This record gives sequence, structure tokens and C-alpha cells, in this order.
Amino acid sequence: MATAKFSGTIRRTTIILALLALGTTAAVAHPDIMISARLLFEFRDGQLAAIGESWAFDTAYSARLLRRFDRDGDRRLSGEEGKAAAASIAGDLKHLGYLTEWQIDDAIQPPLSAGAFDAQVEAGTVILTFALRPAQPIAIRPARTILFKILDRDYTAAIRLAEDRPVLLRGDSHDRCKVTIADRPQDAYFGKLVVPQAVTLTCG
Amino acid sequence: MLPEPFAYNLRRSAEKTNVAAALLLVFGGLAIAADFLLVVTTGGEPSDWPLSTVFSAERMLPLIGLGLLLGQSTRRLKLPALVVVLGSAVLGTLLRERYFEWVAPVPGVAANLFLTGPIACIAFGIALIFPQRLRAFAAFPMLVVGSAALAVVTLLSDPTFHSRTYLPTAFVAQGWVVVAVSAVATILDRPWAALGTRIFGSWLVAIGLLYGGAHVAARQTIQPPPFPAPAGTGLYPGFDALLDDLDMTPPNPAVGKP
Repeated sequence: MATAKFSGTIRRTTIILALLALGTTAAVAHPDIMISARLLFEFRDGQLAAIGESWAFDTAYSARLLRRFDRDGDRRLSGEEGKAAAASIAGDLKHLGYLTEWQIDDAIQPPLSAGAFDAQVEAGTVILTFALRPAQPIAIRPARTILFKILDRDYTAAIRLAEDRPVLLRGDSHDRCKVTIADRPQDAYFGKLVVPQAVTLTCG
Repeated sequence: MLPEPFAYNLRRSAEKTNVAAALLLVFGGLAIAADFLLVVTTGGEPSDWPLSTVFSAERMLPLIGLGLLLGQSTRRLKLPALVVVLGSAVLGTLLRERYFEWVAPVPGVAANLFLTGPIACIAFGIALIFPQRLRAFAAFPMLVVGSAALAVVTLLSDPTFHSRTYLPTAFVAQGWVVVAVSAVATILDRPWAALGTRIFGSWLVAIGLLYGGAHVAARQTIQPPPFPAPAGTGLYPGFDALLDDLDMTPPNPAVGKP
């Protein structure tokens, strides 16, 4: 009798603890953050001088950023607020190469240096912009291909190129180059379940 | 038998160590509480707290299991066990992508942190079920599995966007939980405590199986919700803030990257 009562208590406690544990898992299911990205290739003197990135965060993460950085509560990141938000994200992503990987003619390149970080709000969405610069400008040569991927290997953030004008070219040699966007299944990550997009720049 | 003055000094030294450890635990707890209050009193929500995932039931259960395991181990085994825990955590972190690839075909696992939470529960639970005289043999392989899983779940349940401070603070906070539980388990060195620990171990296994199984049954995918559609006006939409900086780029050297 007493044994049956004891095992009943154990069973009930197990179920309560399991429900408690289950209740917490939805919050950490992957991915947590969605980003629509745009790329801007900046040409100068016939060379690729810089790459601009513009990231639009999903509404939930944008709200979270606003709670943290919008000190005056006007639902905008004006002046110092935007700089502070951008500086925080920049500092956090530096050791991850700003989630940007790139190759020249299939050779993997070292992470780019970044600057000019800024964050603004458009219709409730936080937009982060920054510029990436190679150690020296890259000469544009016929048949040279430059490939960029923006990916988060731990899949905290799911990143896709924006549907509308995902890649823009600017500067003096932009009409010599064309851009292709394609999935790269050979670079799949996170258990080979997430296939990144690659932007390939080919110049004539 | 030690000479009395030497034994006295040893006891005094042990008492001082205990007091220092107790103070460390109290101040650690206060620091964690202050960190939480700082977030919620400055406009943040509880889920904004970077350690919110550490202090969830999913993570606390295996941490308590690990604390009991270390607390009830003999003094001789404590240091090797600690080395195994830390080594396995590093190994798990480094080899995580291989593990992901291995289990990815199982439905539902990727969306739920590759079941690292339930695996940590089951591993520490199994080790705790064994009677203390046999535990040393069972504990070490389970410590390897459980610690590696715990490290990976810590990494994957980062609620921030790769904040620099998340991993150090999460590991310190988890260490604090393990040490606190371990200290209590060391003090409560009674037969009923040993029995209670074995019952808790069986709970951990049951809970790990229950919610691991629930994740697999739910077959949740990692398909993200719709992406935001960034607004776009002007010639270079989304880049207005950057154009001035790009225009100020100094003239390039004559020769670029060859």
C-alpha cells in the first residue's frame, strides 16, 4: 500500500518535472533570429574597394533591440542609440568575421575588416548597415570570380538575401560586372541541413 | 594518526576553506540575481536576460544531476571527474558539427538543439542510478557524454545574437549551480540522501526520455518563419547610412590585390 503510494508520488513528480522542462524548450528552438540581407559592391578605380551589407532583423528581434537601446522610447534608434546598438552587434560579431565568408577564384579568404556600423528603424524593423573592406582593393580581371556567403554556422540567425534588390553594384566599374545568386549545397552546415546562398561576382 | 597540533591546523584550514566557499556561493548567487534585476528594471523582459536559458528547467535538471554526482563522489575521484567534465565539454564543442551531421536524419532533433538537453539528463541520470560503490565505473563514461551534451546545449541555447559575454557568464553561472549542489550533497552525507539521489537519477532518465521522445514525435523542422521584407526606396535601398562613408573611401592604391 505504502509502496504504491510512493511510486505514485514519483510518477507524478516525474511528469511535473518533464512538463516544466518541455515548457522551456520552445524558447530556444532554432533559429531565433531572421535576417534579410542586401549586399552592395563598391567599385573604385576599376577595383572592388568595399562591400556594404544591410541586414533587416525580424520584428521580434527588432523589438528586443529597441527595448535595450531605445532609451527615449520613441520607437527609433536615433543618433547615439543607433550607434550604440550597432557597436554592440559589431563587437559581438567580430570574432565570427561578421558572419561573412568569401572566396576569390575558389580560394578561401581571411575575414574582412568592418566599419561604419549604423542601426536605424524602418517600420518597426531594425536595419543594420556596415562596410567590409579587404586589406587592399581587389583588381577586377576577366574570368575572376569573387564569391560571398552570409551565414551563421550555429544557426542562431537564419539569413537570406532580400527578395527585392538583394545585390547592388555602385561605382566606376560596376557595368563590367555581373552577379549571380545560387544555393551552395556543398557548403551546407548545421548538420548539413541549412544550405547557404552564395553571391558570385564575375567581371569582364 | 596525525600529531594534535598538525591535525588542529588542518581542521582550521578546512574550516576557513568552507567559509570562503560559502561566501563565494552567496556572492555568486547575489551577482546572478543582480544581473537579472538589471535587465528587468531597465525595460527588458525576463527573456531578454542572457542567462534566461541557463536557469530554465531543461538546463537546471542536468546541472543538478552533475552537482550531485560530483558532490557524492569520493575525495580521490573529485579532481579526475572535474578534468573529465571540462575535457568533455571542450571536446563536445569542437566536434559538435560531426555530431549534428550524425543525428540530423532523425526528425525533429535539429529544431530542438539536437536533443543535447535530454541526452545530458539521461547521461547524468544513468550515472546517479548506480549505487555509490559501483558509481565510479558508470560515472566516467556518462560524465563524458553528459558534459559534452551540456556544453553544446549551452552554446546552442544562446538567447543573444552571439553576445561576447554570453558564453563566459553562462559557464560561470552553470559552474556556480554545480558547485552549490555539490556542496550541499557533500554536507548531506547520509544514507537517505544517497537513496534520494538514486531516485532523482531515475527521474532524470525518465524526463530525458519523455521530452526527447516528445521532440522526435513532434517532427518539428528548422524551417524559419517568413523573413522580414526590408523597405526599399532610392537608388541604393537600405544603404543610405553607408553611402557617405563609401564616398569618403580614400583613393585606392594604383595596384589592387593581384
